[in-house]
Amino acid sequence: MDRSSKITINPISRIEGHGKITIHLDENGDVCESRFHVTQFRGYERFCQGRPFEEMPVITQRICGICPVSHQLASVKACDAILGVDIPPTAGLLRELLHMGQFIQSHALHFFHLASPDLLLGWDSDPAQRNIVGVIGEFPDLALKGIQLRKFGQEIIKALGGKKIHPAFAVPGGVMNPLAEDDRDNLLSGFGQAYETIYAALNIVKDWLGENLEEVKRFANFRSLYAGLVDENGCPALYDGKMRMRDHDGNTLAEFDPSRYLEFIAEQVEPWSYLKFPFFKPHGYPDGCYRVGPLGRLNAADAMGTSEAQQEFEHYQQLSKNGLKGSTLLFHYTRLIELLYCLEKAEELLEDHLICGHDIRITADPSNREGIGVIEAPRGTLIHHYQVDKYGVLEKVNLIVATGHNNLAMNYSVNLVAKEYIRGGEIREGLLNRVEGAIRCYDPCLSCSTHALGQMPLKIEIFTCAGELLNEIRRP
Amino acid sequence: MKNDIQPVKMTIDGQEVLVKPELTILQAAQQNGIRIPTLCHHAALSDRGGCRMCVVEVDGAPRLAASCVTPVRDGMQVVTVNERITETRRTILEFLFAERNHNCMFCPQSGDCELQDLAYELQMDHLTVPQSFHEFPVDITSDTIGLDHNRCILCGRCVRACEEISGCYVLNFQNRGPGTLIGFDLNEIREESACTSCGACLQVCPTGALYNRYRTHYSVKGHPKDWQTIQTVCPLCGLLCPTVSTIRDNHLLKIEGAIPAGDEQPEGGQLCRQGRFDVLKNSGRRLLHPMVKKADGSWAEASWESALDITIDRLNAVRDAHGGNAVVGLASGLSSNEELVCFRDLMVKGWETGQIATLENSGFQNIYRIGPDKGQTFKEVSWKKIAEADFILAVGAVTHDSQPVVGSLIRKRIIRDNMRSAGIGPNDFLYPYGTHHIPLKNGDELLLIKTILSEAIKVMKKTASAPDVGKIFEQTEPVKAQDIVKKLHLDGKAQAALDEIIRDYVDSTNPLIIVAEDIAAQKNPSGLRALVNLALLKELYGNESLRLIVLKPGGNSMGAYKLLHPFDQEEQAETVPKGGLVLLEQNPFQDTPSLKIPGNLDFLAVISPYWPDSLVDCAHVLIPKPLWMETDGTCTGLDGSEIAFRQKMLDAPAEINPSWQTLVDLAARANVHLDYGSWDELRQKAEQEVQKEVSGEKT
Amino acid sequence: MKKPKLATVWCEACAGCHMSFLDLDEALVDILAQVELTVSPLTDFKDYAFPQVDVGIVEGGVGNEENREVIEHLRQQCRFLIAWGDCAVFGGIHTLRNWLSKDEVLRCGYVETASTVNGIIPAHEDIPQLLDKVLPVNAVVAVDGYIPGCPPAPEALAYCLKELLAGRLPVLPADMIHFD
Repeated sequence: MDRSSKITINPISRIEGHGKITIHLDENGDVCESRFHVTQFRGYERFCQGRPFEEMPVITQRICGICPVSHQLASVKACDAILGVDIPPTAGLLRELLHMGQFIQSHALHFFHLASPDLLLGWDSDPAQRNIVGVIGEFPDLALKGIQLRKFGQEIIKALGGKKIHPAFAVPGGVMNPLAEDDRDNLLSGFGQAYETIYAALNIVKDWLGENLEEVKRFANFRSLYAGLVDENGCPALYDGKMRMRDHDGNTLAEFDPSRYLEFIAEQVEPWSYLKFPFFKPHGYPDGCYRVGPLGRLNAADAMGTSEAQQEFEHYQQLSKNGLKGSTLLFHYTRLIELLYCLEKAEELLEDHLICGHDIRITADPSNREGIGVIEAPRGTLIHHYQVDKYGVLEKVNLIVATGHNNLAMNYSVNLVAKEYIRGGEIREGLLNRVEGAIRCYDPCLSCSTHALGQMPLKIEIFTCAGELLNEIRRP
Repeated sequence: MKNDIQPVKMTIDGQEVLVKPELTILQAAQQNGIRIPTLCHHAALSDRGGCRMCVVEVDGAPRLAASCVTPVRDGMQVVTVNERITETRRTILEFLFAERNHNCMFCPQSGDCELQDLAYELQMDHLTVPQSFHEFPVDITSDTIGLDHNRCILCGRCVRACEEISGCYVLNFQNRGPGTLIGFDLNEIREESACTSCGACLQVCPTGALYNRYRTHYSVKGHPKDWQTIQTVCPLCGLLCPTVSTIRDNHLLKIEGAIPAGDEQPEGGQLCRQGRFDVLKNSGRRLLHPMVKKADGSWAEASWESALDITIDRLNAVRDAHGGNAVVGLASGLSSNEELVCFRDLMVKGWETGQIATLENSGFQNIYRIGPDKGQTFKEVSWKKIAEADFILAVGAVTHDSQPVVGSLIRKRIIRDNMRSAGIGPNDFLYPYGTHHIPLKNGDELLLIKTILSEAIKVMKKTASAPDVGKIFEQTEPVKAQDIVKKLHLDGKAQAALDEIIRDYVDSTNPLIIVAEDIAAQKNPSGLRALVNLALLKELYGNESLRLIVLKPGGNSMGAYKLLHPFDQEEQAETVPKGGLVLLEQNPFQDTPSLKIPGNLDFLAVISPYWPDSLVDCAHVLIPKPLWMETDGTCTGLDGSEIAFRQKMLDAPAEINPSWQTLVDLAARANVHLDYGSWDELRQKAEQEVQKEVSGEKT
Repeated sequence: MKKPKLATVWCEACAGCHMSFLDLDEALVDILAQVELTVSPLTDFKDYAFPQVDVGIVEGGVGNEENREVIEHLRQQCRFLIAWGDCAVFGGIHTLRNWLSKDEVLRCGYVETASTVNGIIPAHEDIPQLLDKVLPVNAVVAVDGYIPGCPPAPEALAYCLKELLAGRLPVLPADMIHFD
């Protein structure tokens, strides 16, 4: 590897970060490789071994405090498979409702708390202000609505699971407790404002995309595969469905029951990151790069399945035809379309006559030695795969987290941005913001691996081959 | 004498109190409303003084005393809380937390844990001592009881419960020092131990070390103080064990054995696997709407009206074509007395049916058909009298599965009081505690009973025999013991045991004979007669009951026997059933009840809380009913004399009518007016009928 | 009066505590008005070195070299250090790996998992090495206040901040302590 110089972009440098970026330049000062390093490893695959399988939904949700519900649900689906049961219909509705609560809070968090500062205040605005506090200052009304939309999602989770983070709700065979009718009515009364907020957000994004079309077209726009779970109508199936892999031109390469994931997905390890690199097996590594999450799901889907979201989806499809399909910035738009979908879906679920039913759990003894649970987490497909002994004690655990699927794509995106902004050793103004912006589009839930919740503090150090500090760029 | 004992005058936290001298400081404080935190102490168990959580300051002494094992003394000055005591308790807690791996965030018991409660109460918000981070094993070889040694504080409550409550003596301490573990038998895994899964250990466990695998993490939502508890009885086997069930959001969280309150060392809390664990299972899909089978064999939702109409029309058509006897009625032996009365009246008045029976094997009734020679009604002894027996003879396939609490009661008597016992039959449920056991293949037991009877008479004739057994002496044909010994291939050890059993029985003053269901169901009258006569060799218990305890298959088998039996005429000509009505009950631990449904019925309606998977193929109408825990009801105890009211624990789904209402509605459509008035009046009627049977006035 | 300065970091944890902070929802606006949030995953005010702050709040245990550097550094730069959440207070769920060797844990994650094709264990100058054990913060540096919970309730952090603003070292009342 050419090590003539290396640029390190270290989110809070060697101090806190669970992720950082290095850009390697060749002797001409051009980018030869960029790396997005994930610096955290915790070892769930090993330390869960020996635990009873029924504890996994509450153990594995501690992987991530941002999307604990997704882990709980993927885990509990794997546990259902070990029990070999079909859960009662009410339990299925309640789990899906919990999942919608998770999507609403997570997508709202990403858009309002994290991404909106870029869109509302501008890419290159003062970083001291470019955060949620700044948005509160400039757009207090919208900021408050955003906070309330996230809260609405969290309230759904709390009404079911008793607490907003790390709830204990889904259990193998069903769920722990029914939904009280009062809670249902309370939740139903909150949709009016939620829709209002999401439409406001959609307008912001659509206006922004219109105003910045050229940049959108250029920005980390690349051909890749797209993956997501779909139902029998080709609509995104966030809780349960078949996994579909599509290429950039919309051809379906594979559609399979997620329990067969090992036939289609493999993971490469790079020595420089604790996050593995999943790839589409038939295409090999690293060609089998695919994207998951809102962009992946919508590009893999044929339709949305709810009326309002369908309209936006059609608008999105029109937009993406103009050479925008692979633009990483479209993540923001697709995320909001999903947020709208989730609101519609949550309302639909709450109006189901079975939602307050009491037939919520089926008990059984383990009948299978293996269970695979796959779900769409807000950031993409999440795979939990357990093997147990005859009593249900875990023997092997494999986890492919949502952000992992995007690992190759994130590295690729950083590389594209870096190449655009660094030529012949010259670094153009704006590199810092664009690099973190590219990563942020994927909304990497890096506590599943590392984190990028805030904006990354950026300092770029350029080293000579000898390791001497050549130049240092700091954010003002 | 007792009244002469002077109370002790002492001071607790400045409060002067008078207490009985035999109390401990802890008891004295509790009686005066002063709370002392405890951990290894439990109301239902003996005290050990091991955890030191209950330490108090006595007379200002520098060394704190464990209040649970320190007796009160006249003039004693006790301080239960000050900074030093609190600091000591918190330090003890920290060591307990640091020693093993108490990860509350994924512990199924979190929120319902005494260790955790104490940590909160004493504001243990961090540890000042390093944690050991040593791995301890987890045993989930049982599908009911999980044992995670990582959360064990070695308080020993479970060991004492296993001994004192359940009489199992399976749990014990193993290893030493920090490596000490609670172990099953001689360090077996749970599955291979003699554990009966009664769950007494997990009821008393103050942490999540022993926990119920069916309930996990429920306590995150809401606080235990918001839970509702209902004291009722368990209806599953006829022993009617008192229970405390815990409900949240109309959802059953747990059922525990009730521990009686009181000064004396109370014993209680015992349940069995079925009553504690199996009730929490839900292995079926609830039936929420009446369903009618369409011509193509598929099921369609129907209104209550149309489902009931179809049922009556079709059963009437069966009667018109084949006669009333062609309609068969089968009810679950777990049905309440009230349901059984309604069901019987509907069947008898609606279709003059002669065929009503319980779903469970009702063969045990054979023993009642024998009737004792002296002409009294067959009345058996309550199982509770095992507490007074001096010899127990258990006959037949008495297993862990039927009435397991009976087994533990016997074991406790054997171990505590050296009570003698004998088992005859295929398995030895008292192993290794029983005095004798003669292994026999199932069906041979009564042959051996004949021998015992005959030999016992021989022995008793030599001594002065009671005059009223003379008739038995006369009637009993002597059997040649040697022939039977040969026939049964008894080895020398068994023959020696046989001799001892005969001697023990003759020598005993208060013997009881436990008869397994399969023995009572035997068709050979002479064998059953010998059994009854053997019991009659000793005078009637309390001048009224035969010294027999007959185990039954269903929770309310005796209710069913008393309420249905008079109509179940043996002599009535058998008719091939052509139509049927089945009343099912929640029987979650029997996936497929062994139903004796005659094949190819013209019509079958099933009233059931669940989709009756085993009947779906042959049924035509399905009508939902609440679970037993969703309705009030009375059930008749094992010996038929006790009637207990079990209060409902949960609300049934709004759309489901109570089954007695459904039966009354069905009857109305069959032009039968079942006028019971209110449910309370129905309950009185059912009670009277059961009682009437008890007093022997057959209708 | 000058606003007290606050720094929050997360180490070996799941972000749940910081998310719980966001669950203060509308009240968040008030709290952010009373303190100056400096280094935090929630803001852009980050630097290679921590500024001098009044209160440092740590989410997460200490599981790798980087975590340890962060904690030691933050301890030097702050007047009061608060351990926030079960991981920071007790070590948390990740201590389940403490009785295993770190090599075994790594091998399982990168060599033995079903979907991994080229079993190698990541090791590189750009990623920090794991410590042998995941430790609570007070096993590494002195800690002044504790907020256990997985995650702690939003109100618990708000309570502690209020106590600090009032010039008192916070001790959670019994009804605010929970471990789950």
